[in-house]
Amino acid sequence: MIIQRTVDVSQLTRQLTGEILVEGMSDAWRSRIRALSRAITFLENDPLLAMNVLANEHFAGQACHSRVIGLTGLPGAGKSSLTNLMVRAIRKSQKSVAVLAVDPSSPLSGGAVLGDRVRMQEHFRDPGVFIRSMGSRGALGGVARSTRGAIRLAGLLGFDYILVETVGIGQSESEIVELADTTVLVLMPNSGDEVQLMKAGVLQLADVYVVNKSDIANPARMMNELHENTAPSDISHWCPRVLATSATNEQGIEDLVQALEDHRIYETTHPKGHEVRRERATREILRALHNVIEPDFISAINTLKKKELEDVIEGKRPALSVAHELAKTFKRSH
Amino acid sequence: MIVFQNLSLSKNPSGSGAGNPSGVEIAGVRFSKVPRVLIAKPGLDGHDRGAKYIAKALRDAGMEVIYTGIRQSPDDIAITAVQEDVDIVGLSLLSGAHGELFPRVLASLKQQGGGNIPVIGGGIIPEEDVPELLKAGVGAIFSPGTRIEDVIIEIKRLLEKQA
Repeated sequence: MIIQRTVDVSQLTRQLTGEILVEGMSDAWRSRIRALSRAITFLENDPLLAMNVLANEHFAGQACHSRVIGLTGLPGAGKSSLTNLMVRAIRKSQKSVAVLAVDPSSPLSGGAVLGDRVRMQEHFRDPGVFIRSMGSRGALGGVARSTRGAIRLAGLLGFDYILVETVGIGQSESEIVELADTTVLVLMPNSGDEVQLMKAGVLQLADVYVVNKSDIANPARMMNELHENTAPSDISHWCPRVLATSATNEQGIEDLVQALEDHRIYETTHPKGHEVRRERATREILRALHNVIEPDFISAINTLKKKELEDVIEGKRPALSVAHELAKTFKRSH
Repeated sequence: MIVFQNLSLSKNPSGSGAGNPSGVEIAGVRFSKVPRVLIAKPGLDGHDRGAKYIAKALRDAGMEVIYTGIRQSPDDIAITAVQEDVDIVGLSLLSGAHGELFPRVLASLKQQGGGNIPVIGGGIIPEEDVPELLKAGVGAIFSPGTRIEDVIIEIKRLLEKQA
């Protein structure tokens, strides 16, 4: 289902910076939070016009200093419960935190039930905590298309930490690694045998590995295998931490927070850390470029003749050859 | 015709200047959106079968439903509604405290900058209490036995009215 709304982008960005207050509001911070939530809605629904907010003159040259932490892992591994405890630990040290929690959208109706908040009830009334649930809306990388923009906006409001919780993932949804400064992969003691861990994918990419639910089964074997499979061959690289936690018993959270801090120090002081950041920025631009150009590609596909489409359907012609042809006309017209 | 899932691209000429480099005031950009709904249970009432049933039905009608669990205070609900930027709030209550709690949710919403978000309610609500609640500002009340189709139709009507 789709409905129509209207937004005054210029007014919205000024509300975001706090230059003006949202109508009828007197508390400056609450007003900015209201504007943030409205701006994220705009990004989610209109990725092309999102630029008008994200690159608005009001934010020109403004750097974000938020530390972005990604939490990813199997469905039901305890990502939301761990997020909740991490928020608690972060708030104990007087730092502010924004949580962006992504849940899957229904491929059938486009709707979603976004339920990550259920585990974070204790923080709802804390003004230093902002929580936003996002539907993945057909994106397959574990986050939504607009998650990156939402991170930027929350960063402009000056949150010290931004926690991004992905949808429950399988083995290959690794976009979070491109978004987050530190990625935490949450597993369970019985998540699989060694062969599962040897497989490539997101299992190789995290900075911190957490074996949660350590109260249910002994995490030792899983932790050993994670160590063996993730230790870098080049010792100048970050050596991923492997930790055991129990969200239910609130155990291991200090170690997790410490590991995040260790990784921050490594990444900001070690020359390899800078390399990682540069690579991430390149990927970010590439993905953004893809998003910018994709609508043009879609219009190009819509101009295909019925015959060409039928040929692909019947297997007479590979899709790649049609794509090559489209690309040729596309290059000519640009 | 291929379209992005849930993603209609605006062809609004007034807002298409990427990055707004000229500094031209862009007022009133129109955009299409997926409706977002908060389903919340205020007060001391742990029966959430109905709320979950409604949440799933709205999901299947193509809405993004934020569900926050049981025993929420009016402030919890209002703050969630605002941070999640929902288009409508649905309250489910079976404890009989609707006369007290529904108006408090409305007041709290106003305080948090969400005074324009319509609020509807359902659960065990006696017919004689309905006029009072509507007068207080609740958009619609659904009593036991309401067909789910009628709930969805009414929500759609309220959502489209705002635009």
